[in-house]
Amino acid sequence: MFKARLKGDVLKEMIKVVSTLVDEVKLNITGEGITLKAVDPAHVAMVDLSLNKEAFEELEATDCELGVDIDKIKEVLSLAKAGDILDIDHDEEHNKLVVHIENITRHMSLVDTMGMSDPKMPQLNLPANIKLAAAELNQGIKASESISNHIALVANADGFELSSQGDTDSVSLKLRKDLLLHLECSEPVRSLFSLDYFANMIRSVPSSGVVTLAIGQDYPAMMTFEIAEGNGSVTYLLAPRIENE
Amino acid sequence: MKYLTLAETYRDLQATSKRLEMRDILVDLFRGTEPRLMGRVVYLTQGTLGPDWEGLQLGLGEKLVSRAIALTAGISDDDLEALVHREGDLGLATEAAFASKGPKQVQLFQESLTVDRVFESLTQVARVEGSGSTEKRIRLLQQLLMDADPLSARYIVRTVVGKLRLGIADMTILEALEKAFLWAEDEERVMGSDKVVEAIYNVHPDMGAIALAVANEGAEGLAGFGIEVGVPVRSMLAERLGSTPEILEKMGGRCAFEYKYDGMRIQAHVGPGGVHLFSRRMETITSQFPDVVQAMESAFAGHEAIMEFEAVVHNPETGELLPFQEVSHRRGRVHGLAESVEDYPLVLFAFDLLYLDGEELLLQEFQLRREALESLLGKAGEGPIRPSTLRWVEDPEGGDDFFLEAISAGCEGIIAKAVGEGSHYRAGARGWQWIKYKRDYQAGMTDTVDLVVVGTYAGAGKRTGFYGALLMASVNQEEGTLESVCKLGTGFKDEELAALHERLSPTVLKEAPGNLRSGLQPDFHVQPELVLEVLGAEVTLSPVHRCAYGHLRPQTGLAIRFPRMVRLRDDKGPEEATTSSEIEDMYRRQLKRAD
Repeated sequence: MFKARLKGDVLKEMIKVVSTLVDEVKLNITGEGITLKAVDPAHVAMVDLSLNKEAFEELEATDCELGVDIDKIKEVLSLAKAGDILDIDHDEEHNKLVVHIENITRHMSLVDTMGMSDPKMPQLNLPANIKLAAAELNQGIKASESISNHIALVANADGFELSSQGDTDSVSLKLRKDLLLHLECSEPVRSLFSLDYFANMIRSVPSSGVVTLAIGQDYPAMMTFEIAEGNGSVTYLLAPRIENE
Repeated sequence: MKYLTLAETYRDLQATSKRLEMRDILVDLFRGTEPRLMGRVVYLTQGTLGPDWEGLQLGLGEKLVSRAIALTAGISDDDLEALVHREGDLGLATEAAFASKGPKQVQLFQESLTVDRVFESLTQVARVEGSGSTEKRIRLLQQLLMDADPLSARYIVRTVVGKLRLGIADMTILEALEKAFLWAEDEERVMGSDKVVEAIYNVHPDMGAIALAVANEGAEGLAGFGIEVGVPVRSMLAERLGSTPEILEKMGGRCAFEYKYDGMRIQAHVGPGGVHLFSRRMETITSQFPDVVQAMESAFAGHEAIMEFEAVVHNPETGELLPFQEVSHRRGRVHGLAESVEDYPLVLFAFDLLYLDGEELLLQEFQLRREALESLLGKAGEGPIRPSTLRWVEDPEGGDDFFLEAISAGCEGIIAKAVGEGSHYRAGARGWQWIKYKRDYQAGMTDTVDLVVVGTYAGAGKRTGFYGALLMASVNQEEGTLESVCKLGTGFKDEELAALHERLSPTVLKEAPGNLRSGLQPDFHVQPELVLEVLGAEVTLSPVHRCAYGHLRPQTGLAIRFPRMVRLRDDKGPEEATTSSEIEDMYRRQLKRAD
């Protein structure tokens, strides 16, 4: 059983996070909230998201799994105005998700969850931890986009840097320790990432949000941030690109 | 076992054209392979996933495979196409794309690429059917390629598109199995193979199953194989001669003459599991001949048998036999099968019986097999299943009369069959126990041969945009090479010119295949896979062609003069083309006649 009432904006944030990686997702629903884990088809990135009970206006559910098509949810959300509240429930008899916004009711077929696995979050040992405003990261991404398809994340005890090297030009955004909300770095590290993936992930952080980045040397990066005004959390994992010797 | 081990072996195999070196590379591979994996290793090495008759085919379209490659390598379709153009084939282009400079994207969950994983994924790819199958195939391939290093990717891609083509003859694999598992390690074999594995392969041509058995149990593993209903037996093949006296001389003065029908050879297996039909290339063709299946079910109810037939189309009005092309209307047909069954009724002429109700007849003399066949068929003279027309011949006059009868009945000629001692069925072998004598042989060398297209020359004038000529080769089975024997430029109909261009241009190679021998450099080399029937005026000595090179005179090969295309031979693969030694025999006989 699943019956929920929530703000359209909360669902929008959640869908933005997931849609950067996958088209379909399995929601694990309990009376305490919703969680999901998904890996993109290329196995390059992973998302682990949870939305607590407090993120909902109302939530009534027994444990269940629902497979949803992200594009369909987006279609419904495009009908919602700022501040609209959505009512969602699971029509078990017809196995449809029923969404009400104002006077609109959408019956949505579900995706078969057979074969949709629950990926395990790998254990990572990441020596650098950086906490900063998403706006700073977006600035660095913007600077890199005209230069290269890659972006390097570099950290040492003194600061954090985003840099890109193109064929002829290069660019970097340097943030000294005092400009960061937090920096902890036991050894100097550098990892290179696909700018495309990285940019999409950072763009799904709610505006005025804060991101905690954990990075290592030629190692996956972990990005953690809050959604739903602190009542939900997201962890992204992104595999690096390794430079050939 | 990592797939990379196989890929490295394939690279080494392609670096040599020497048969014994190839064999020894395979021996090292086989000895280093876990016995349980031997079947899969051998199938993959043949570019397949199982025996031909099981019909699990790869050979996916290059467009679909390209999509998966581009997605995995993170390049555009256009960039991949440019790479294919530069590198010469999709396999090398993939390797280049995967090895390209710049940082390589790694994955969160890397799985290692084992032989098992590749084999199982490819099997899944081959089995996918129904709606959305293209997408599913692309996804499966992408998942596989994602974990592949550049070299493995090269060979996976070639396997998937059905173009692995390592240039290893089946006999080389069989000999490698023998050396790896049956010869004592310290044994110095000067004489080479004693062909025990080959003998099993001829009656049970499932290379993977045999490999698995010998790897696990050595010689004892071979004991389990024999003739089996449902598993095609390799066909016995005929030599050729050009006159009745020559044939009688070879046959010791007495033999059987049988009509050589201009039809399609079918091996039929009848048993409790139903009827199975196999082509001469051992593909399952049961579904294309529902009428044949039905006729056999009723004719041989309650029996278990393996028989060989020539299927010929006849005109039910006149009883006249029609040429081979009419049967080929049925081949590979999915749609309109019912109509073609009506339009092209078949008569099946049975000419051999290899197995009947628990008894292997393979090793029986020809007369005994023939008697058993006739008693099984009974007097079904007018039905769709009939015994082939046969006469016992002891003198040239009787033979010539029968030959003329065969020609006037619409046959290509006759096949002479040895009788008495040594006349058992020699599966997979071409020998003088069967000799074909076709009407074309009568005048000089107006003999047709089946040659492989190995190169093309651009056309000019009326033929601009098509081919001016094709470089043709015969097969040297001992060396595993293709030897050029003529430049073919006449006999093409306009539509054939267009069809040839369409067939050959996608198979252009960047450089000559390693096993091609020729003194000529065509404009383009092509994959040696298309076989054409060619009629020539005579066989001559040639300084540029390499057929039977050096056999008759140093630095001299044989060429076919005035070659003319007769038709496409889609039913034949390059391994079934005319051999260089057959052409050498033609040359020697021609000399004898000139004397």
